[in-house]
Amino acid sequence: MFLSGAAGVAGLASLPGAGAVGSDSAERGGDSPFEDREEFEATTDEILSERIGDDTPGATVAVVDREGLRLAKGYGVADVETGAPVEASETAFSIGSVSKLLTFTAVMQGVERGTLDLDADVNTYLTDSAVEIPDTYDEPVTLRHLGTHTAGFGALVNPGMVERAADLRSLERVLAENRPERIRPPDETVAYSNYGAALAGHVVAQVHDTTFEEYVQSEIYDPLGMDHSTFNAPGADAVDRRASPHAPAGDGFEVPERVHINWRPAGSMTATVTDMARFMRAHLADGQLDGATLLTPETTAEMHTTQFERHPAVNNGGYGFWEYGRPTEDLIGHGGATLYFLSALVLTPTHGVGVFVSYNSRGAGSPGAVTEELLREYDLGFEPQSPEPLASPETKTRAERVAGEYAATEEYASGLGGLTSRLGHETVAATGDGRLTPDDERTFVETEPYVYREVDGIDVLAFDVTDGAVQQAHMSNAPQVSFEPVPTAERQNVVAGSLGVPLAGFGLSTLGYGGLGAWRWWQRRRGVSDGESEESPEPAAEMADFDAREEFE
Amino acid sequence: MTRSSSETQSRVRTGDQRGDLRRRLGRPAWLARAVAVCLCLVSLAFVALVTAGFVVAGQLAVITRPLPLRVGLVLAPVVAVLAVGTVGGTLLAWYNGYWSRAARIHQTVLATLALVFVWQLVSLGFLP
Repeated sequence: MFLSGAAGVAGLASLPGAGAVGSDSAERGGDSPFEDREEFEATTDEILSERIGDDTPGATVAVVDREGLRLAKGYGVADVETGAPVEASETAFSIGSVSKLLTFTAVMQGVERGTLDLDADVNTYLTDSAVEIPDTYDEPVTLRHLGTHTAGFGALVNPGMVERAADLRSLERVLAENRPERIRPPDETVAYSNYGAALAGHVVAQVHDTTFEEYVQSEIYDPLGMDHSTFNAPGADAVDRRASPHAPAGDGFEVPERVHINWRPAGSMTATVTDMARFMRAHLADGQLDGATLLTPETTAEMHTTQFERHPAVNNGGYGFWEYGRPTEDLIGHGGATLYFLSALVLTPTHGVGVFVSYNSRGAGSPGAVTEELLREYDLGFEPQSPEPLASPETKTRAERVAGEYAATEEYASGLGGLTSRLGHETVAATGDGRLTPDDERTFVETEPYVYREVDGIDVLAFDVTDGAVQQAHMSNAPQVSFEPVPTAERQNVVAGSLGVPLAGFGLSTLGYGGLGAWRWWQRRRGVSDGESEESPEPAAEMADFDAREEFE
Repeated sequence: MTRSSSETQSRVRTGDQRGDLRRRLGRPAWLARAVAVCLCLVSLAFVALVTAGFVVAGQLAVITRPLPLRVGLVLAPVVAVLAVGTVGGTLLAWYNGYWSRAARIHQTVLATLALVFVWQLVSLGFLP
């Protein structure tokens, strides 16, 4: 997800390797929003300098435009223990779910070849696989559903992360052993699915009679010249220089053990920012790059345009891509998050600009905030809006109707799923004057019935209301999911009460038992000193001596 | 007192305590209340451990599962078993007239709270 985060004030100079490290900015001009190369690089430096050391120890940034690579630059350190600097063309970062863009690009290559059909039941491609999607509903799951996250799978809290490389397994095995339930019919709503993306990668591998990793190597990495990229297959050699993972520790960062991802097409890719720049350039140039064809222009455009519309007023999803920024703009992209890396990729095909940012830590801020600030600086789709409120006597009534607690459609189906889902509830409050506040910081005004736009921001809240009841809510900045009203029994205050009252009762009872036992033990002990008894039971034993009828009288 | 006589007396006392425990375990009234005491202690320990797990690892605890969380998760089914035992003990207490009325009411309140607590454990995914 594209999370914006608070940026602290950092000192580039306080970190080894900080500053203009690994810069190989293109010396190009022309048809570009970034005409002044030095000014653009200084702006980027300023945005990153506020974050390096606070949000992350290191970052890598690439910006491309129609002229080619505009900027590729490393900031901070790849490893806080060694102090090795981030080199844009050498240091590979784990890009998390940005990997899905390559997976769904691979699917669309198969569609172009005629080996895959977006609307065929995926089971028709899995006849030689242990993976099978059950016929829970009449409608089968198709590759179109997988690429738009509308297959209706429940989510698993752990998308195949393992602590040891030795625990990496074949894609077929992990998908067969970890299949989530189908909890909705396909095409009903958007619900982000790592499993769905991994399954799409498996289908690609099955129909091309190879492994997913080998397919990507021969059909994407090699044609595009992405020499420092890998999906980290079991037993594969790692790229030469990988940024180390980091976790916040006190005022700084520590280097934890690297984690590995079994659902590889969903998020296991490692790449340098210069490789990601080549991928972005191909998508911005109708699928072509330096004589190589990644996709046809038609297929590229299909991936970039809306394939599943949640609501016309908000950002929706293309094929693999999510719409991003102001809904009226044409920005598309994908975020990525592993345990210790965060990434964001954004393209604006209209302007021919692409931005990719990756952090080697999961701290307070996110690279999505960097892409947002950079694109806002150049008026590329993130300029805040000043919406004109709808003048309607029904505004206040409608605001009160939609106010309430909502749960994301990305519903966790097992493990600690219920807890994870409850923590993710969103509460929309009505201010009493027709406005809405989904959090403490933002206010939305109604601009058309049941459509609310953020004041001094870019977000939009839209509600589907039938017969006066909210069916779904859609947040423009969260195109990966929709939201549904939470039943009373699952609301956070009910859950808190249902846990808190019993715990208070248990705690008070424990104190009562202990106090009573101690008092009785003391009475017995006093009796001993008075010569009434030779033995005094221990308090614990006394506490549990409840077999007397006169207890608690 | 000689050392050997002290050891003998200690063994006698240990034997007495074991006998006392066996005697109590054979009494349904004592067992009913002991299960309720255990329910309180284990439930509090469960919450403390799960909370500690999230303090250590934040929301990522559901993926990384730090040690306190793993131990806490082991206690969840224990809480469920103890809750069932507490409810059973409560029914026996009213049927057989264990303890005072106030003690039986207290036990009933605990059993009700236990059922609410287990309902939430199931709802939150701590129990299948």
